[in-house]
Amino acid sequence: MTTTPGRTVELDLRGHVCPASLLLSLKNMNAMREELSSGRVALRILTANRESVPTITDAARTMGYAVTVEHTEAHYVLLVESAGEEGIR
Amino acid sequence: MMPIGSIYIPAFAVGAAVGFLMHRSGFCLVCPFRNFFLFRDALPARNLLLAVVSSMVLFEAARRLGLLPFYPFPMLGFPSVSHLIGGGVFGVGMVLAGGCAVGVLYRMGAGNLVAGTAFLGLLAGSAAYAEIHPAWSVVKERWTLSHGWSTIPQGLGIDPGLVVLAVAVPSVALFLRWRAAGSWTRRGTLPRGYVPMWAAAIGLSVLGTAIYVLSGMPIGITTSCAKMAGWVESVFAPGHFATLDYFRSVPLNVASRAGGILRGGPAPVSDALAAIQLPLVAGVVLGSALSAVLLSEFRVYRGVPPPQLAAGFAGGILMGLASRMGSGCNVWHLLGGVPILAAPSLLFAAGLLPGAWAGTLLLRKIIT
Repeated sequence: MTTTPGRTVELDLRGHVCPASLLLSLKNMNAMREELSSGRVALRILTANRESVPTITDAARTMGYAVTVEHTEAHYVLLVESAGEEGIR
Repeated sequence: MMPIGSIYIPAFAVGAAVGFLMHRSGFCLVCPFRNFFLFRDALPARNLLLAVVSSMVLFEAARRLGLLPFYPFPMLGFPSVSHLIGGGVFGVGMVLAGGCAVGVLYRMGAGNLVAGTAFLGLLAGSAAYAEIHPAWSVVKERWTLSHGWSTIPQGLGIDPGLVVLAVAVPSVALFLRWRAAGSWTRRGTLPRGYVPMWAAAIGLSVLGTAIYVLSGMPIGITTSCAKMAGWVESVFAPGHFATLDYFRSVPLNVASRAGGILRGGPAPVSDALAAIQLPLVAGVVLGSALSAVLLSEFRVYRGVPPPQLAAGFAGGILMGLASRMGSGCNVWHLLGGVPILAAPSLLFAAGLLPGAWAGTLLLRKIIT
Protein backbone atom coordinates (compact mmCIF):
# COMPACT_ATOMS: atom_id res chain seq x y z
CA MET A 1 0.00 0.00 0.00
CA THR A 2 1.49 3.40 -0.96
CA THR A 3 0.36 6.86 0.13
CA THR A 4 0.60 10.01 -1.95
CA PRO A 5 1.01 12.74 0.71
CA GLY A 6 -2.27 14.29 1.69
CA ARG A 7 -4.45 12.92 -1.04
CA THR A 8 -4.63 9.34 -2.26
CA VAL A 9 -3.90 5.96 -0.71
CA GLU A 10 -3.24 3.32 -3.32
CA LEU A 11 -4.11 -0.30 -2.69
CA ASP A 12 -2.68 -2.60 -5.36
CA LEU A 13 -4.59 -5.89 -5.23
CA ARG A 14 -3.90 -7.07 -8.76
CA GLY A 15 -3.41 -10.81 -8.95
CA HIS A 16 -4.60 -11.44 -5.39
CA VAL A 17 -6.57 -14.56 -4.57
CA CYS A 18 -10.36 -14.30 -4.62
CA PRO A 19 -11.82 -12.71 -2.36
CA ALA A 20 -8.78 -10.76 -1.10
CA SER A 21 -9.76 -7.70 -3.13
CA LEU A 22 -13.04 -7.28 -1.28
CA LEU A 23 -11.68 -8.29 2.14
CA LEU A 24 -8.70 -5.92 1.99
CA SER A 25 -10.74 -3.10 0.49
CA LEU A 26 -13.26 -3.40 3.32
CA LYS A 27 -10.47 -3.56 5.88
CA ASN A 28 -8.86 -0.40 4.51
CA MET A 29 -12.13 1.49 4.11
CA ASN A 30 -12.95 0.71 7.73
CA ALA A 31 -9.48 1.62 8.96
CA MET A 32 -9.57 4.96 7.11
CA ARG A 33 -13.22 5.71 7.69
CA GLU A 34 -12.63 9.11 9.30
CA GLU A 35 -10.16 10.38 6.69
CA LEU A 36 -12.23 9.03 3.81
CA SER A 37 -15.48 10.47 5.13
CA SER A 38 -13.94 13.89 5.74
CA GLY A 39 -12.47 13.97 2.23
CA ARG A 40 -8.89 14.24 3.50
CA VAL A 41 -7.99 10.97 1.79
CA ALA A 42 -9.21 9.07 -1.26
CA LEU A 43 -8.64 5.34 -1.68
CA ARG A 44 -7.46 4.13 -5.09
CA ILE A 45 -7.95 0.38 -5.44
CA LEU A 46 -6.32 -1.54 -8.29
CA THR A 47 -7.85 -4.94 -8.94
CA ALA A 48 -7.76 -7.47 -11.75
CA ASN A 49 -10.52 -9.48 -10.13
CA ARG A 50 -13.69 -8.87 -12.14
CA GLU A 51 -15.97 -10.25 -9.45
CA SER A 52 -14.69 -7.66 -6.99
CA VAL A 53 -15.73 -4.65 -9.06
CA PRO A 54 -19.46 -4.82 -8.24
CA THR A 55 -18.95 -6.08 -4.68
CA ILE A 56 -16.43 -3.36 -3.72
CA THR A 57 -18.40 -0.56 -5.37
CA ASP A 58 -21.60 -1.76 -3.72
CA ALA A 59 -19.96 -2.02 -0.29
CA ALA A 60 -18.33 1.41 -0.63
CA ARG A 61 -21.59 3.09 -1.66
CA THR A 62 -23.42 1.34 1.18
CA MET A 63 -20.82 2.84 3.52
CA GLY A 64 -21.63 6.27 2.12
CA TYR A 65 -18.69 6.85 -0.23
CA ALA A 66 -18.67 7.89 -3.85
CA VAL A 67 -16.96 5.41 -6.19
CA THR A 68 -15.80 5.77 -9.76
CA VAL A 69 -14.59 2.83 -11.83
CA GLU A 70 -12.14 2.94 -14.68
CA HIS A 71 -10.90 0.07 -16.82
CA THR A 72 -7.28 0.66 -17.66
CA GLU A 73 -4.69 -1.64 -19.23
CA ALA A 74 -5.75 -5.08 -17.99
CA HIS A 75 -7.24 -4.09 -14.63
CA TYR A 76 -9.83 -1.93 -12.92
CA VAL A 77 -9.17 1.21 -10.91
CA LEU A 78 -11.75 2.01 -8.25
CA LEU A 79 -11.54 5.44 -6.67
CA VAL A 80 -13.32 5.59 -3.33
CA GLU A 81 -13.79 9.04 -1.82
CA SER A 82 -16.08 11.15 0.26
CA ALA A 83 -19.57 11.61 -1.18
CA GLY A 84 -20.03 14.83 0.78
CA GLU A 85 -22.52 15.40 3.60
CA GLU A 86 -25.42 13.55 1.92
CA GLY A 87 -23.33 10.49 1.28
CA ILE A 88 -22.61 9.76 4.95
CA ARG A 89 -25.08 7.33 6.44
CA MET B 1 -24.28 -40.92 -27.05
CA MET B 2 -21.42 -40.19 -29.39
CA PRO B 3 -18.75 -42.76 -30.22
CA ILE B 4 -15.99 -42.00 -27.73
CA GLY B 5 -13.50 -41.36 -30.53
CA SER B 6 -15.64 -38.44 -31.71
CA ILE B 7 -16.09 -36.77 -28.32
CA TYR B 8 -12.92 -34.61 -28.36
CA ILE B 9 -14.27 -31.62 -30.26
CA PRO B 10 -17.71 -31.43 -28.55
CA ALA B 11 -16.06 -31.84 -25.12
CA PHE B 12 -13.59 -29.08 -25.94
CA ALA B 13 -16.42 -26.83 -27.15
CA VAL B 14 -18.42 -27.43 -23.96
CA GLY B 15 -15.34 -26.73 -21.85
CA ALA B 16 -14.60 -23.53 -23.77
CA ALA B 17 -18.17 -22.31 -23.32
CA VAL B 18 -17.97 -23.12 -19.58
CA GLY B 19 -14.68 -21.22 -19.23
CA PHE B 20 -16.00 -18.24 -21.18
CA LEU B 21 -19.23 -18.05 -19.18
CA MET B 22 -17.52 -18.43 -15.82
CA HIS B 23 -14.98 -15.72 -16.62
CA ARG B 24 -17.63 -13.28 -17.80
CA SER B 25 -20.07 -13.87 -14.95
CA GLY B 26 -17.75 -14.60 -12.04
CA PHE B 27 -19.95 -17.64 -11.38
CA CYS B 28 -18.00 -20.17 -9.39
CA LEU B 29 -18.82 -23.02 -7.06
CA VAL B 30 -16.82 -21.69 -4.10
CA CYS B 31 -18.52 -18.30 -3.79
CA PRO B 32 -21.90 -19.76 -2.74
CA PHE B 33 -20.25 -21.09 0.41
CA ARG B 34 -17.34 -18.70 1.05
CA ASN B 35 -19.14 -15.45 0.26
CA PHE B 36 -22.03 -16.39 2.49
CA PHE B 37 -19.73 -17.23 5.41
CA LEU B 38 -17.54 -14.15 4.88
CA PHE B 39 -19.94 -11.44 3.75
CA ARG B 40 -23.44 -12.94 4.14
CA ASP B 41 -23.66 -12.49 0.35
CA ALA B 42 -26.36 -14.96 -0.74
CA LEU B 43 -26.46 -14.13 -4.47
CA PRO B 44 -23.94 -16.83 -5.49
CA ALA B 45 -25.80 -19.41 -3.39
CA ARG B 46 -29.08 -18.51 -5.11
CA ASN B 47 -27.37 -18.99 -8.45
CA LEU B 48 -25.93 -22.33 -7.42
CA LEU B 49 -29.42 -23.45 -6.45
CA LEU B 50 -30.67 -22.25 -9.84
CA ALA B 51 -27.92 -24.24 -11.62
CA VAL B 52 -28.72 -27.37 -9.60
CA VAL B 53 -32.49 -27.16 -10.12
CA SER B 54 -32.24 -26.39 -13.83
CA SER B 55 -29.77 -29.28 -14.25
CA MET B 56 -32.22 -31.48 -12.37
CA VAL B 57 -35.08 -30.57 -14.72
CA LEU B 58 -32.93 -30.87 -17.87
CA PHE B 59 -31.42 -34.23 -16.82
CA GLU B 60 -34.89 -35.58 -16.08
CA ALA B 61 -36.24 -34.30 -19.41
CA ALA B 62 -33.28 -35.91 -21.20
CA ARG B 63 -33.84 -39.17 -19.31
CA ARG B 64 -37.52 -39.25 -20.26
CA LEU B 65 -36.63 -38.58 -23.87
CA GLY B 66 -34.22 -41.51 -23.77
CA LEU B 67 -31.20 -39.29 -24.39
CA LEU B 68 -29.16 -40.31 -21.34
CA PRO B 69 -26.90 -43.26 -22.10
CA PHE B 70 -26.62 -44.10 -18.38
CA TYR B 71 -28.84 -43.34 -15.43
CA PRO B 72 -27.43 -42.95 -12.86
CA PHE B 73 -24.14 -42.18 -14.56
CA PRO B 74 -21.07 -44.41 -14.11
CA MET B 75 -18.46 -43.94 -11.34
CA LEU B 76 -21.08 -42.61 -8.92
CA GLY B 77 -20.68 -45.54 -6.56
CA PHE B 78 -22.62 -46.17 -3.39
CA PRO B 79 -23.00 -43.65 -0.57
CA SER B 80 -20.17 -43.81 1.92
CA VAL B 81 -18.90 -41.70 4.80
CA SER B 82 -15.85 -41.24 2.57
CA HIS B 83 -17.92 -38.87 0.41
CA LEU B 84 -18.72 -36.75 3.44
CA ILE B 85 -15.07 -36.62 4.48
CA GLY B 86 -13.97 -35.95 0.89
CA GLY B 87 -16.44 -33.05 0.70
CA GLY B 88 -15.13 -31.62 3.96
CA VAL B 89 -11.49 -31.70 2.88
CA PHE B 90 -12.42 -30.37 -0.56
CA GLY B 91 -14.34 -27.50 1.07
CA VAL B 92 -11.25 -26.36 2.99
CA GLY B 93 -9.09 -26.68 -0.13
CA MET B 94 -11.35 -24.82 -2.54
CA VAL B 95 -11.61 -21.79 -0.25
CA LEU B 96 -7.84 -21.67 0.32
CA ALA B 97 -7.19 -22.03 -3.42
CA GLY B 98 -9.62 -19.21 -4.26
CA GLY B 99 -11.58 -21.48 -6.59
CA CYS B 100 -12.72 -25.06 -7.02
CA ALA B 101 -11.23 -27.34 -9.66
CA VAL B 102 -13.09 -25.62 -12.52
CA GLY B 103 -12.68 -22.20 -10.89
CA VAL B 104 -8.94 -22.72 -10.70
CA LEU B 105 -8.87 -23.65 -14.41
CA TYR B 106 -10.80 -20.62 -15.59
CA ARG B 107 -8.86 -18.21 -13.39
CA MET B 108 -5.61 -19.76 -14.56
CA GLY B 109 -6.79 -19.26 -18.15
CA ALA B 110 -7.24 -15.56 -17.41
CA GLY B 111 -3.66 -15.34 -16.09
CA ASN B 112 -4.12 -15.63 -12.33
CA LEU B 113 -0.91 -16.85 -10.71
CA VAL B 114 -2.53 -18.13 -7.49
CA ALA B 115 -4.82 -20.30 -9.62
CA GLY B 116 -1.74 -21.59 -11.45
CA THR B 117 -0.13 -22.66 -8.18
CA ALA B 118 -3.44 -24.19 -7.08
CA PHE B 119 -3.49 -26.24 -10.29
CA LEU B 120 0.00 -27.56 -9.53
CA GLY B 121 -1.31 -28.36 -6.04
CA LEU B 122 -4.22 -30.27 -7.62
CA LEU B 123 -1.75 -32.47 -9.46
CA ALA B 124 0.37 -32.93 -6.33
CA GLY B 125 -2.73 -33.80 -4.28
CA SER B 126 -3.81 -36.36 -6.87
CA ALA B 127 -0.35 -37.93 -6.71
CA ALA B 128 -0.51 -37.90 -2.90
CA TYR B 129 -3.81 -39.76 -3.00
CA ALA B 130 -2.18 -42.57 -4.97
CA GLU B 131 -0.01 -43.19 -1.89
CA ILE B 132 -3.00 -43.70 0.41
CA HIS B 133 -5.35 -45.32 -2.10
CA PRO B 134 -5.10 -48.91 -0.76
CA ALA B 135 -5.86 -47.82 2.82
CA TRP B 136 -8.56 -45.36 1.76
CA SER B 137 -10.29 -48.01 -0.38
CA VAL B 138 -10.68 -50.17 2.73
CA VAL B 139 -12.10 -47.22 4.70
CA LYS B 140 -14.45 -46.34 1.86
CA GLU B 141 -15.74 -49.89 1.60
CA ARG B 142 -16.13 -50.32 5.36
CA TRP B 143 -18.06 -47.06 5.69
CA THR B 144 -20.36 -47.67 2.74
CA LEU B 145 -23.92 -46.99 3.85
CA SER B 146 -25.68 -49.02 1.18
CA HIS B 147 -24.69 -51.36 -1.60
CA GLY B 148 -28.14 -51.49 -3.15
CA TRP B 149 -28.79 -47.96 -4.37
CA SER B 150 -27.04 -44.75 -5.36
CA THR B 151 -29.83 -42.21 -5.73
CA ILE B 152 -32.61 -41.22 -3.36
CA PRO B 153 -35.36 -42.20 -5.87
CA GLN B 154 -33.70 -45.64 -6.22
CA GLY B 155 -33.56 -45.96 -2.45
CA LEU B 156 -37.21 -45.02 -2.08
CA GLY B 157 -38.24 -47.10 -5.09
CA ILE B 158 -40.05 -44.23 -6.76
CA ASP B 159 -39.98 -42.54 -10.16
CA PRO B 160 -37.20 -39.88 -10.22
CA GLY B 161 -39.65 -37.56 -12.00
CA LEU B 162 -41.80 -37.34 -8.86
CA VAL B 163 -38.83 -36.27 -6.74
CA VAL B 164 -37.71 -33.77 -9.39
CA LEU B 165 -41.22 -32.32 -9.44
CA ALA B 166 -41.30 -32.13 -5.64
CA VAL B 167 -38.04 -30.16 -5.64
CA ALA B 168 -38.50 -28.09 -8.81
CA VAL B 169 -41.99 -26.68 -8.16
CA PRO B 170 -41.25 -25.00 -4.80
CA SER B 171 -37.84 -23.95 -6.13
CA VAL B 172 -39.38 -22.17 -9.10
CA ALA B 173 -41.82 -20.43 -6.74
CA LEU B 174 -38.85 -19.32 -4.66
CA PHE B 175 -36.95 -18.13 -7.75
CA LEU B 176 -39.93 -16.02 -8.85
CA ARG B 177 -40.18 -14.53 -5.38
CA TRP B 178 -36.49 -13.60 -5.48
CA ARG B 179 -37.04 -12.13 -8.94
CA ALA B 180 -39.87 -9.96 -7.64
CA ALA B 181 -37.58 -8.78 -4.83
CA GLY B 182 -34.78 -7.96 -7.30
CA SER B 183 -32.53 -10.53 -5.62
CA TRP B 184 -30.98 -11.92 -8.82
CA THR B 185 -29.21 -8.70 -9.72
CA ARG B 186 -25.68 -7.90 -8.61
CA ARG B 187 -25.65 -4.35 -7.25
CA GLY B 188 -22.68 -2.09 -7.80
CA THR B 189 -20.79 -1.22 -10.96
CA LEU B 190 -20.47 -4.19 -13.28
CA PRO B 191 -17.22 -5.08 -15.07
CA ARG B 192 -16.98 -4.93 -18.84
CA GLY B 193 -18.67 -7.72 -20.81
CA TYR B 194 -20.49 -8.93 -17.71
CA VAL B 195 -22.84 -11.89 -18.07
CA PRO B 196 -25.38 -12.10 -15.22
CA MET B 197 -24.75 -15.01 -12.88
CA TRP B 198 -28.26 -16.37 -13.40
CA ALA B 199 -27.63 -16.61 -17.15
CA ALA B 200 -24.34 -18.42 -16.45
CA ALA B 201 -26.10 -20.77 -14.03
CA ILE B 202 -28.67 -21.74 -16.68
CA GLY B 203 -25.96 -21.90 -19.36
CA LEU B 204 -23.88 -24.27 -17.23
CA SER B 205 -26.85 -26.56 -16.68
CA VAL B 206 -27.48 -26.68 -20.45
CA LEU B 207 -23.79 -27.41 -21.12
CA GLY B 208 -23.73 -30.04 -18.36
CA THR B 209 -26.75 -31.74 -19.89
CA ALA B 210 -25.12 -31.65 -23.32
CA ILE B 211 -21.98 -33.38 -22.08
CA TYR B 212 -24.08 -35.94 -20.15
CA VAL B 213 -26.06 -36.76 -23.31
CA LEU B 214 -22.95 -36.89 -25.51
CA SER B 215 -20.54 -38.73 -23.23
CA GLY B 216 -22.77 -40.51 -20.71
CA MET B 217 -21.36 -38.51 -17.80
CA PRO B 218 -21.75 -35.00 -16.38
CA ILE B 219 -18.95 -32.43 -16.26
CA GLY B 220 -15.98 -33.81 -14.35
CA ILE B 221 -12.32 -32.95 -14.57
CA THR B 222 -10.35 -34.25 -11.63
CA THR B 223 -9.64 -37.76 -12.91
CA SER B 224 -7.77 -36.05 -15.73
CA CYS B 225 -5.71 -34.22 -13.07
CA ALA B 226 -4.85 -37.64 -11.61
CA LYS B 227 -3.86 -38.74 -15.12
CA MET B 228 -1.54 -35.75 -15.48
CA ALA B 229 -0.04 -36.41 -12.04
CA GLY B 230 0.42 -40.07 -13.00
CA TRP B 231 2.14 -39.09 -16.22
CA VAL B 232 4.59 -36.81 -14.37
CA GLU B 233 5.29 -39.55 -11.84
CA SER B 234 5.74 -42.19 -14.55
CA VAL B 235 8.35 -39.98 -16.24
CA PHE B 236 10.30 -38.80 -13.19
CA ALA B 237 9.86 -41.74 -10.81
CA PRO B 238 8.96 -44.74 -12.98
CA GLY B 239 10.06 -47.26 -10.35
CA HIS B 240 7.77 -45.82 -7.70
CA PHE B 241 4.96 -45.26 -10.20
CA ALA B 242 4.98 -48.97 -11.02
CA THR B 243 4.25 -49.80 -7.37
CA LEU B 244 1.11 -47.64 -7.14
CA ASP B 245 -2.10 -49.66 -7.39
CA TYR B 246 -4.19 -46.53 -7.85
CA PHE B 247 -2.87 -45.95 -11.36
CA ARG B 248 -3.90 -49.48 -12.31
CA SER B 249 -7.50 -49.03 -11.10
CA VAL B 250 -10.28 -48.81 -13.69
CA PRO B 251 -13.26 -47.05 -12.07
CA LEU B 252 -15.00 -46.62 -15.42
CA ASN B 253 -15.88 -49.97 -16.92
CA VAL B 254 -19.38 -50.13 -18.32
CA ALA B 255 -21.09 -51.46 -21.39
CA SER B 256 -22.59 -48.66 -23.44
CA ARG B 257 -26.03 -48.99 -24.97
CA ALA B 258 -24.54 -48.17 -28.35
CA GLY B 259 -22.31 -51.21 -28.00
CA GLY B 260 -18.75 -51.53 -26.80
CA ILE B 261 -17.23 -51.00 -23.39
CA LEU B 262 -16.41 -47.62 -21.87
CA ARG B 263 -13.21 -48.02 -19.89
CA GLY B 264 -11.07 -45.48 -18.14
CA GLY B 265 -9.14 -44.62 -15.02
CA PRO B 266 -6.39 -42.47 -13.56
CA ALA B 267 -3.62 -44.24 -15.51
CA PRO B 268 -1.82 -41.83 -17.85
CA VAL B 269 -3.06 -43.58 -20.97
CA SER B 270 -5.54 -42.75 -23.70
CA ASP B 271 -8.94 -44.06 -22.60
CA ALA B 272 -12.57 -42.93 -22.42
CA LEU B 273 -11.93 -40.63 -19.44
CA ALA B 274 -9.01 -38.98 -21.20
CA ALA B 275 -11.16 -38.49 -24.31
CA ILE B 276 -13.90 -36.74 -22.32
CA GLN B 277 -12.08 -34.88 -19.55
CA LEU B 278 -8.83 -33.66 -21.12
CA PRO B 279 -10.59 -31.68 -23.89
CA LEU B 280 -12.97 -30.29 -21.24
CA VAL B 281 -10.02 -29.09 -19.15
CA ALA B 282 -8.28 -27.56 -22.15
CA GLY B 283 -11.55 -25.96 -23.22
CA VAL B 284 -12.19 -24.30 -19.83
CA VAL B 285 -8.67 -22.83 -19.73
CA LEU B 286 -8.73 -21.60 -23.33
CA GLY B 287 -12.35 -20.39 -23.23
CA SER B 288 -11.55 -18.24 -20.22
CA ALA B 289 -8.31 -17.04 -21.82
CA LEU B 290 -10.24 -16.05 -24.94
CA SER B 291 -12.75 -14.11 -22.86
CA ALA B 292 -9.95 -12.32 -21.00
CA VAL B 293 -8.07 -11.49 -24.21
CA LEU B 294 -11.22 -10.14 -25.88
CA LEU B 295 -11.73 -7.83 -22.89
CA SER B 296 -8.02 -6.89 -22.80
CA GLU B 297 -7.91 -8.35 -19.30
CA PHE B 298 -5.37 -11.13 -19.76
CA ARG B 299 -2.32 -10.35 -17.63
CA VAL B 300 -0.14 -12.31 -15.22
CA TYR B 301 0.54 -10.23 -12.09
CA ARG B 302 3.61 -11.34 -10.19
CA GLY B 303 3.29 -9.18 -7.09
CA VAL B 304 1.10 -11.63 -5.21
CA PRO B 305 1.83 -11.98 -1.47
CA PRO B 306 3.68 -15.29 -0.93
CA PRO B 307 1.20 -16.45 1.76
CA GLN B 308 -1.55 -16.32 -0.87
CA LEU B 309 0.54 -18.37 -3.28
CA ALA B 310 1.24 -20.87 -0.52
CA ALA B 311 -2.47 -21.00 0.37
CA GLY B 312 -3.32 -21.58 -3.28
CA PHE B 313 -0.87 -24.47 -3.53
CA ALA B 314 -2.02 -26.00 -0.23
CA GLY B 315 -5.66 -25.59 -1.29
CA GLY B 316 -4.90 -27.32 -4.58
CA ILE B 317 -3.26 -30.24 -2.77
CA LEU B 318 -6.31 -30.63 -0.53
CA MET B 319 -8.65 -30.50 -3.53
CA GLY B 320 -6.62 -33.07 -5.45
CA LEU B 321 -6.57 -35.38 -2.46
CA ALA B 322 -10.23 -34.84 -1.59
CA SER B 323 -11.53 -35.26 -5.12
CA ARG B 324 -10.08 -38.78 -5.08
CA MET B 325 -11.23 -39.50 -1.51
CA GLY B 326 -14.74 -38.30 -2.32
CA SER B 327 -14.88 -39.88 -5.81
CA GLY B 328 -15.17 -36.59 -7.68
CA CYS B 329 -14.82 -32.84 -7.37
CA ASN B 330 -17.53 -30.35 -6.49
CA VAL B 331 -18.66 -29.71 -10.07
CA TRP B 332 -19.12 -33.47 -10.61
CA HIS B 333 -21.14 -33.79 -7.43
CA LEU B 334 -23.00 -30.45 -7.30
CA LEU B 335 -23.92 -30.15 -10.98
CA GLY B 336 -23.92 -33.87 -11.80
CA GLY B 337 -24.86 -36.01 -8.82
CA VAL B 338 -27.02 -33.65 -6.76
CA PRO B 339 -29.39 -32.98 -9.70
CA ILE B 340 -30.20 -36.71 -9.87
CA LEU B 341 -30.30 -36.80 -6.05
CA ALA B 342 -27.36 -39.16 -5.83
CA ALA B 343 -26.66 -39.96 -2.20
CA PRO B 344 -22.84 -39.88 -2.61
CA SER B 345 -23.10 -36.36 -4.03
CA LEU B 346 -25.50 -35.19 -1.35
CA LEU B 347 -23.03 -36.44 1.27
CA PHE B 348 -20.16 -34.68 -0.53
CA ALA B 349 -22.22 -31.46 -0.62
CA ALA B 350 -22.99 -31.81 3.09
CA GLY B 351 -19.26 -32.13 3.77
CA LEU B 352 -18.51 -29.01 1.73
CA LEU B 353 -20.38 -26.80 4.20
CA PRO B 354 -18.23 -27.30 7.33
CA GLY B 355 -15.12 -27.59 5.14
CA ALA B 356 -15.77 -24.27 3.41
CA TRP B 357 -16.53 -22.65 6.77
CA ALA B 358 -13.21 -23.85 8.20
CA GLY B 359 -11.41 -22.79 5.02
CA THR B 360 -12.97 -19.34 5.27
CA LEU B 361 -11.63 -18.89 8.82
CA LEU B 362 -8.15 -19.88 7.63
CA LEU B 363 -8.25 -17.72 4.51
CA ARG B 364 -9.32 -14.65 6.46
CA LYS B 365 -6.24 -15.06 8.68
CA ILE B 366 -3.97 -15.53 5.67
CA ILE B 367 -5.28 -12.54 3.74
CA THR B 368 -5.74 -10.03 6.53
